[in-house]
Amino acid sequence: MSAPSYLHKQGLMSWFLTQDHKRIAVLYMITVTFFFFVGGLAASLIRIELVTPNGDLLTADGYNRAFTLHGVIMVWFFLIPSIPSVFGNFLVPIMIGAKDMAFPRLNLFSWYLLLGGGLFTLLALLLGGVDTGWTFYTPLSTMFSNGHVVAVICGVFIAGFSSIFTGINIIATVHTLRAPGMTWMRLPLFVWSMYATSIILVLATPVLAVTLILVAAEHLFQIGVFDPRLGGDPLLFQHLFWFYSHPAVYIMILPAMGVISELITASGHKRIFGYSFVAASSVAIAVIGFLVWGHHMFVAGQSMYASLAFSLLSFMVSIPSAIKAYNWSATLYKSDLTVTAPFLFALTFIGLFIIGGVTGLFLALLAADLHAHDTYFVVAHFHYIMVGAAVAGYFGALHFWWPKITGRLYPQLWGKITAVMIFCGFNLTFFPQFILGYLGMPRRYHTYDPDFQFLNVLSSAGASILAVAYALPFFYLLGSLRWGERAPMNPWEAAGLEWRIPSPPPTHNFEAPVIVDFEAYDYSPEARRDPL
Amino acid sequence: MNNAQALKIYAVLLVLLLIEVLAAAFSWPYRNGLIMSVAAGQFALLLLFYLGVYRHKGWVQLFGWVYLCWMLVMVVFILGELQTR
Amino acid sequence: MIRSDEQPAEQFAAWAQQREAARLGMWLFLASEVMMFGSLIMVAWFYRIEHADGVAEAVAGLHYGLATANTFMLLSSSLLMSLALIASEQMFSQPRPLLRVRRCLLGSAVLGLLFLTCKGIEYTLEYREGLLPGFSADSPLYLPSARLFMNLYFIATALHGVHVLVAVGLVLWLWARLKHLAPHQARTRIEMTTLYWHLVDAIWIVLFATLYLVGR
Repeated sequence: MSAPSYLHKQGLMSWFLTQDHKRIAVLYMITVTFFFFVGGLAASLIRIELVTPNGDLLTADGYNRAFTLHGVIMVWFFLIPSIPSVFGNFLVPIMIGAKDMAFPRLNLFSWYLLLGGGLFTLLALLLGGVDTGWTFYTPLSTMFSNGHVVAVICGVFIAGFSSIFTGINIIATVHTLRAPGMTWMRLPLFVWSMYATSIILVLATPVLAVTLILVAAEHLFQIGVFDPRLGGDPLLFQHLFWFYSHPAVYIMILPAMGVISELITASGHKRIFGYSFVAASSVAIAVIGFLVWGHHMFVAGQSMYASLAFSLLSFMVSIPSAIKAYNWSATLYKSDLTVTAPFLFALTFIGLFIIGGVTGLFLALLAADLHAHDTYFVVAHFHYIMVGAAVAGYFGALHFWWPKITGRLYPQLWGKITAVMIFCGFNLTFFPQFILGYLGMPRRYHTYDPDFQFLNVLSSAGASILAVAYALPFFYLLGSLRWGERAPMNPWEAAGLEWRIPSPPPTHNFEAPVIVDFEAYDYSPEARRDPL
Repeated sequence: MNNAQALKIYAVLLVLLLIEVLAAAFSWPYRNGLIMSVAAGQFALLLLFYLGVYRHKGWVQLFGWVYLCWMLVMVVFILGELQTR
Repeated sequence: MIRSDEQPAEQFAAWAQQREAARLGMWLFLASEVMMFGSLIMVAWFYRIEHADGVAEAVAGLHYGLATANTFMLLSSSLLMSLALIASEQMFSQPRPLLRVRRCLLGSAVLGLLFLTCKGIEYTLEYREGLLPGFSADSPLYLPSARLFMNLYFIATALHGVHVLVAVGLVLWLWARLKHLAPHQARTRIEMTTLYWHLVDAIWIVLFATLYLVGR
């Protein structure tokens, strides 16, 4: 008689006071989904406004508040917590053979911090919001903005601690709770990328905390740290802000990369090509990612020598990412492929990530950045990575582990339709933006030259397709909870400890103590079907 | 670590405190460098002995050095950028 | 091996494992705190280099006597926390060294509270001198960059003060609850609190030198 699943115990308090990492993951999933839709609503406002060259839907100030809302919510309340707090929390203990995270109560507290910070920020943003952009550049945010700067900052500050504590939890868990035999080089690559992400979470977020404190103090008491009249330096703000925010973008992409390693190996039923290189590349991305922040400041008045150094380092940071892309492709070569919905999301990721990554290199080039900075080229670049790739990674993870988390199967066809729609809608939305940026359309303006209208209309049309594609899973995934077939232990015939326990798992994950005597991705070659 | 060692470290910390305050109050030569070196020394003593880092070898030591080097890089990059504008 | 009926938390196989996890977790937290204060100290140095004259003017007015006393108190409290930790290693022998440990904890907490009191006195003096930003129309400092450095001093020491307050709170709570904790739990909590306390002290050491002493 097997133990009841973690979903068995009923009652609201059993959810709000849970210490079970799996339940906390579900709480996070609901929270980030909510914020995703709020941020998406703001994006819709932006794209509807940009259908026409004139500012007819929103005033200039209103438009500023809309893109700020979009950026703040999407970055801090969706992208950063998405994969780490949902899938990291759910999967890391199971993948290493543990019964829970190292600090379960801290885990629950992290969720409350995100929720609290998020609701507070949302309130501030809806009560009039902030017009500074998610980047809070000084002196606008400190001296001239008449928005609720301090309120929004407080919310983000609180959410930052959610990130730090999640990172601490994951690192401590991976170090101390691995099952006997689970050596570092046997860990699933998802765990490696969560570990690398956690290093960034723990070490970069405090710098954001200090930066936010300084901006708030400047806004409230005019302390002068970023005010040239008192000898302050606005560029110092950018140094401090981007010192966190560049590693932050790696927080957003590394977990997705870890997901893709899992999806590719599971779809191809083949061991990853170059395991140690992929594992090391996660750590390399985290380390080098801390050294490139100045590439956001090439035209801000930064010293030429610093710009040179940052440009060179920015080229170097692309290398580990490229290694991953090559290794995923090599894994698929001569693999025993099953084309599932998760696989299509993984392909979406790889394609869009390559485009986004390569265009990042254009921006890392000093001479090109001079022209592309603050144009739609940059907007397209980072959306290709953060939305095209990272969100595809999140959706891929959702589609891959949904049977494990909920114990239900969803209709594969709908999953595949969603993936294809996302790929097409996304390219239609953001590829024109590369061209717009090249042609000189600046970002963060609610009006534009009428010559740009056709491309903007294409972009907004794509956005409407994306909106439908993002909404679809809401229906068939939630529907599966009621009408879906019960999921078997291993619906994808994948390797990994999570596929050796029931779907959904029992509260303490493993019935018997786990002894690991197999390598990661130990797909047997004999199991490969003959292609003829 | 035992009581005697803890007290010895404390004594050294107090001596260093005296040195840096005297250097500041009486404008000793090279006092800025001296003061910061003393502060670094006190920090190192606290880190190594009271916080107990001296007991760890291997990966912990490596991570410790990497962390310190990387903080140094952050400081050098930002202050260096300021100086080379 | 220490035989004990005390069970570690569900996911841990042994207390040694739980203690190691707690230690790693606390060290990671300390690493994040050092990043936070390190950035702030770097900002202070940034302006020291940019505006040496203004900084000198601001530093000349700082009450370094009080600050020296504060440094002495924090160093002493660190000693007491170390002594508490050493004593707590005997937590499994009979009789348990509870009195010893509790005395050291109380001593540290008292010193911490004295630190905060002196800081409060210092801030009051500075308020009277019209140096607090946003609370007085005219600053007695002539150079704008002097005012900037003064404000940085307030932010940095206030943030540190908050950390001292939290540390004192943790130590007092431990002092009150020690009797009710099982040995393994007590040892682990004392070690983690001590680590945090030493960090707060270490940060002050660097702040003291950077803000008060250099360029006096």
